[in-house]
Amino acid sequence: MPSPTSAQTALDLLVLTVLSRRAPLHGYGISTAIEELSEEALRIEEGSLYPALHRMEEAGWITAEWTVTENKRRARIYRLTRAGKKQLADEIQHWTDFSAAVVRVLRYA
Amino acid sequence: MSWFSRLKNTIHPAALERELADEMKDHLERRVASLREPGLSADEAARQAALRFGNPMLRREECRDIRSWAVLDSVLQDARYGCRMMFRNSAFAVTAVLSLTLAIGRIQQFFRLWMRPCCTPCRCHNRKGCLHSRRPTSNNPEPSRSESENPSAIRFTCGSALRREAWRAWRSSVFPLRREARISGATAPLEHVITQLVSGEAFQILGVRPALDIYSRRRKIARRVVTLLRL
Repeated sequence: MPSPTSAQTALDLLVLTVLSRRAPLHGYGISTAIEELSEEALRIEEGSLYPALHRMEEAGWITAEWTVTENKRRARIYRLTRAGKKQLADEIQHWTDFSAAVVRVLRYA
Repeated sequence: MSWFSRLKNTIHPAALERELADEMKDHLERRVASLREPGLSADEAARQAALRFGNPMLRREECRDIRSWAVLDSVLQDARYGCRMMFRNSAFAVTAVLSLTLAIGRIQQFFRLWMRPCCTPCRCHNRKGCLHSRRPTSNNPEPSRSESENPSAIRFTCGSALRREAWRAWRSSVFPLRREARISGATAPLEHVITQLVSGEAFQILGVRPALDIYSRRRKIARRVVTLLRL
């Protein structure tokens, strides 16, 4: 079980957030969205995104299906499930608590 | 993901491999197309896209491990390798199969003949009754007559000493125990007998008939409770 603040958990949080705010996306769209939203401060190793997506799919947080995009390309798109929304809420809470704790230490140390 | 789809991915990994390859290929193509927009050459765009993506084979293996059962996959790979080796060398295959067959048959025989009395519950009317055959030795070719008046009858004893008897029976299967016992009664003379623990099929295997029409008769012979079975 990864730590609530590990890189794996952070990646899960980013992916779930992007899928909850934007339309169903494929893997390339998810990585591009993360880069754009973070103003290129966050750049994930694109290959490591796919094991994370498959792991979240196995956990039931997201579902995937093959479709044909507007560019007539076959792509596997991902959507957030109800369990994924609940997981997202939990992870946001954990991350908020963690960042608040870090801020307190920085302010009062 | 259900266990069924993981099992399917393990047994038929081709579809999963194709999906993973297509998905990652699609990602790389999109990245190459986005890198070429500022004016990069095709080769340079492909190189940068590959650098950003990382090792695709490693990622596919990670995804495969997530979506299938790695342990079962490993077992199936070993089984396929074993079958290929056996088909290549038929002499080795025949030797291996024969050896296993003989070993399994021997173990099964041992279990049927000697171990079953220890493992199956006693079905005697008297729960303390059981199976411990005594048959005459060459020193005493005629056992004393049983109630059935069958000179070749085998009497059985059983009881709470079954486990102890099982160890003795196992030992006696290789080195039959010769002992003296008063078969006819407490005051009867000592007779030389061979004792062995056997299963129900012992009658057919040893070629003797069991005692008949004797039911739950308890006797004490040589400090052991004897129950004669009606069969």
